[in-house]
Amino acid sequence: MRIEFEMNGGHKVIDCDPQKSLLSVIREDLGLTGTKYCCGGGECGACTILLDGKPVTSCIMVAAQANGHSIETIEGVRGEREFEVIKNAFMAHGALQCGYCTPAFVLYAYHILKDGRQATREEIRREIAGVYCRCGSYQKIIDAMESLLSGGSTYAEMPEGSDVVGKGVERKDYGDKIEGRAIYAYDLKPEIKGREDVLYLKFLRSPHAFARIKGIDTGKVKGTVLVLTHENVPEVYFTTAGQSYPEASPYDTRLLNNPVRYVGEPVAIVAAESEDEAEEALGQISVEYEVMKPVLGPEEALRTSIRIHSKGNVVAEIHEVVGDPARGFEEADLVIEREYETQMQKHVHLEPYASFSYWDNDVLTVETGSQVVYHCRRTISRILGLPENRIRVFSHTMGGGFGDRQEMTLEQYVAVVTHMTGKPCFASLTREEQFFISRRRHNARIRMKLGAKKDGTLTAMSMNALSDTGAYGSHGLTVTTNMGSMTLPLYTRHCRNIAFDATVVYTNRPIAGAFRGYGTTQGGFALESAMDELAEALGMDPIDLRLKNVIEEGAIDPISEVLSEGGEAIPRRIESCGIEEALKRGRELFDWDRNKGEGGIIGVACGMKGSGVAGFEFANATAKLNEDGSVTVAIGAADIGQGAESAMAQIAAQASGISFRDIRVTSADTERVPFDMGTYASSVTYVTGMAVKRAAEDLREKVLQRAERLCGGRPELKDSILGDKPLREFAMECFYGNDRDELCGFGSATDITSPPPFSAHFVELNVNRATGEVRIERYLAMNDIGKVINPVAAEGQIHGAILQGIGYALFEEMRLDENGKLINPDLTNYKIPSALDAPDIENHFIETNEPSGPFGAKSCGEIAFVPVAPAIANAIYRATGTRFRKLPVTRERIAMS
Amino acid sequence: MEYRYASTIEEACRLVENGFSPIAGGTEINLKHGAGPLVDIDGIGMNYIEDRGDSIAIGATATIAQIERSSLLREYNALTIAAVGFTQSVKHLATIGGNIAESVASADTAPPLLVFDAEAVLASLTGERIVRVESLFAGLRKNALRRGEIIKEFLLPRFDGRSYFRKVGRTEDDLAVTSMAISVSGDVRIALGSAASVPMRARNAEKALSSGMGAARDALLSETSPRDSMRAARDYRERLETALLEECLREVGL
Repeated sequence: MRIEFEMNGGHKVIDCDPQKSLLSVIREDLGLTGTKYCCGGGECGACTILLDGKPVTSCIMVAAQANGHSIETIEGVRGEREFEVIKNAFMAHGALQCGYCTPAFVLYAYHILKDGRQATREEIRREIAGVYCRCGSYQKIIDAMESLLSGGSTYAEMPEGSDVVGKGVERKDYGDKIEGRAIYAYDLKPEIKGREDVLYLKFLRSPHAFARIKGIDTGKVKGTVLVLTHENVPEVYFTTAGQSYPEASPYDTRLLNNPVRYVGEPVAIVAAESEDEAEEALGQISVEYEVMKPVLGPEEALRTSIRIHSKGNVVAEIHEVVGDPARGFEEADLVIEREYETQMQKHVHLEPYASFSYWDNDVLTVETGSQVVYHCRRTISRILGLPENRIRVFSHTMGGGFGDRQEMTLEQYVAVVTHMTGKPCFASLTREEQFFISRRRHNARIRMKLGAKKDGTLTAMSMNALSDTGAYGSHGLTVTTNMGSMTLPLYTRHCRNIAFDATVVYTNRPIAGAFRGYGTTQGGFALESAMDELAEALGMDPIDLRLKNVIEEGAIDPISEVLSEGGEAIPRRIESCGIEEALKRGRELFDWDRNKGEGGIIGVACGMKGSGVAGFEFANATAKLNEDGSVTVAIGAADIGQGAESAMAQIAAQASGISFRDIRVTSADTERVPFDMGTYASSVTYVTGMAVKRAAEDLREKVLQRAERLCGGRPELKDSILGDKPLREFAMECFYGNDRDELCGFGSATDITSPPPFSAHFVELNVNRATGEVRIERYLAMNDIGKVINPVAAEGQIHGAILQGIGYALFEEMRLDENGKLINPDLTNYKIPSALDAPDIENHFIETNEPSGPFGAKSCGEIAFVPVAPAIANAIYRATGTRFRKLPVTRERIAMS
Repeated sequence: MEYRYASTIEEACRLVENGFSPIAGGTEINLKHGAGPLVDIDGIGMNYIEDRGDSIAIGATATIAQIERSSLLREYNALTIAAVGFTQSVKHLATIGGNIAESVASADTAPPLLVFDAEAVLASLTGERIVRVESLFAGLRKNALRRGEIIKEFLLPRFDGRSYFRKVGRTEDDLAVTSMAISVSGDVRIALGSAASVPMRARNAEKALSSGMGAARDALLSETSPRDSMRAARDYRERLETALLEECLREVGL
């Protein structure tokens, strides 16, 4: 059908199925990729367009509805007069992270501005609540829009020059993201449309949680379609977890497995010349299953005689003891023992997975969105038997990751299709497929036992965890290790009697994996809830109890002496520690004592994490001087929206004396950048940052040495001025003068001790006991992340971690039916926090100086997640008198308690 | 798949008579796979909100956002509160006609229309008929429209009392797990969403109010039959019904 509409100031005529989604028309037929696909159900708002000036979700509109109307997308709005002020406001307030939702928020801002309405902060909040931001930038978006509407200047002074560490510089990725120009892997589909050689990949997924495939009949599949099953994919076992080699996760999966072990597991993949053809082929494959009884809970996995994998259901066990816990509990005046349970949480990064592979001459190239391009390359090399120098993996801008991209999800499948057929292959997941196929947080049952003297001195701690890694063991051991090893050290000022036991089991649930917090969220919920219960039993203030026991600077973390993340134990001395100050200053700022005296519904909890993985993390960087005096810094880690590239540029500027604006960072491309373990374990600023600092220092030294050799004295290099000349003149001379030399700095860093960042969070709630509704009235976050490299970007990460923590605390949960099938695989039924669920967070950094980190920095990405759920649950206890030891503490559970 | 544009009600009715489904905002129908042939009724001009003297008329294709901001509806607090709290991402698309015609229990505009005793004007090729909105809900996702009929508009009788709407979802920005509207203008009227298979008036509770809260609560619980679902268990929904009753009565000063 012929459909005509005005779009971004031009007249469009298209011919298409009238009931085709309008979003597909915009993205695929018109090639405008600034409008994003995320949920396909009108829930998330990423696909927002302006229809006759009003913001609407284009994913649930059909093409024909646009007929005769006017549409504006980010591509049109970015040319409008109002756009500049919106852009400035978003930049000045740091109102974005991964940027996937940003065009939608910009359209809302534009709509409100055009309307000429005044709006209060709460009205703005309601107005923008139609768009989800999983990075949690709502507060900064509202700040930006408030400043826009107040008509004040939206322009913030941006620091110039090379002295930029600790300053809120404008992130280098902001411009493209706000303008909707950033290209994500998901946007490759429109980009490759029309290419006839591309194969599109689809999965046939198992309807059973546990079933042996007795036969697959592909005889009815028509056309030239490649069908792969467990019978014809390489007989190679590997792990999808992107971890350092040898991985601490078992090699327990092939590309396609028999039996299949969770509902949704790929049974077959088809690759055809169009998505429709691939989809059609799925229906032509018939599979004969021998359905087996699934094991759907971790306790059951221990009891049952059913073996999910041939080696049994136990993936790993941990039994570590420090001191003499039995004696410690004997010495205690009071011992409490409690059991806690945490749920399966989904990352819900707004950009679903997409990967594209092809031969580039003799190099098998995979374009994707991965936090771990080098680990991906190594595993693909293993599966295909291709040398690593014939494989290239690189990441596009990523629409969030949060750990889900520390995993191979599609890369291995597209690579094998290209390897077998010689043709390019593209795969992308719908939101529903994303829910079924990608990873989730390990659910766990944790028994805590704490012993203390009457004065609160802890004498013994024991943690016993049962952790469910699902159908395959990705990250099972290491996530579970962190439940104890990254939480218990927090309270070891006196306590030297500690037992940590854990069992990791397989179940026929969806596969678990890495997720922001990585075990500390589960362990932290148990420990911090138990500390609250202990304080109550002792008749002590929960802050006093913590202050009595928190670890101090100079202490040796006793658990580090016996346990590491899957390798040899490395004793760690705590060189920087702001937890005591965080508690004390937080107590004052929150007016905790008065608030408590007045019966306030308040809660507190602490957290610790690491900075990278001790003994494993290894990063490299180069800093290369170009002819014009600009510098290209290359790192192997990826920017998943947190602003890594800008933080690296700041570190490079500060270390080299070359201006921030003259430095560009390129990342996550195995063909172009040096080796890095990747973006995980909050390691980029700390580990990669140290490599960048060394590379920049190396470059600086090379510049100064050359200048000294040529001119005698050793000049100054600051703000890209060398001595009294612009660096550009010097650089040109390097390449074209008489004594030629290309100057390139190299830096390398290994994580030795993974210094912990710390946090203490304070929350005040209003709980409606009748309905179970929880309103967060105040949220105060005190965080020690060492030296803060970029306070605006770092605060964005803190906000995001807290918001994901709020979802974890109050409502996010993947739910399975009695057959193990996920019953809420969409954003209608798996809710994530919207602007309406987001409190205005008061964030304070307790700046400490970590001597092993670049300019004193530690990690930032995960630390703020840890205390959220226990702080909220502790406060809910004050409101209801009920201890919620199981997450999430839903409205329903509160009302029915 | 077929898609036609109607420019008059007659044209729309003729197509509906021939098996087309009407589409306006499309936020519900487009989520269904294989919706069949559609007739777009957005261009008929039914997106008005106008004063008819003894009533306010809301055209079937008026959007939730229009209702939220209409000065004519200022007296109909329950309806505008429901509009304000409507799922934000779709309120500029979703229409009141679609919200009612879909006949889902959680439709946010339904309880307010019920307490205002709104009527619906239904159009077909044989003419118009007026029915009470309450009688439009035949069952879950099943409306009582006859073949060839579409909703043309809603008529809200003049109202100058107090009213309120309250819903509770699983999060702030969620479908109603339970919703309630109340109006007081001489008599007290109570209506609920997600308390039965379709939106409903709670007439027994209304009557029982004169005998006190306890009686009203009991009456309410015996006349509703909320379902157990993934979104909420029946007992929680019942808890919410009584909680919302107390809150709504308080809000209107009873």
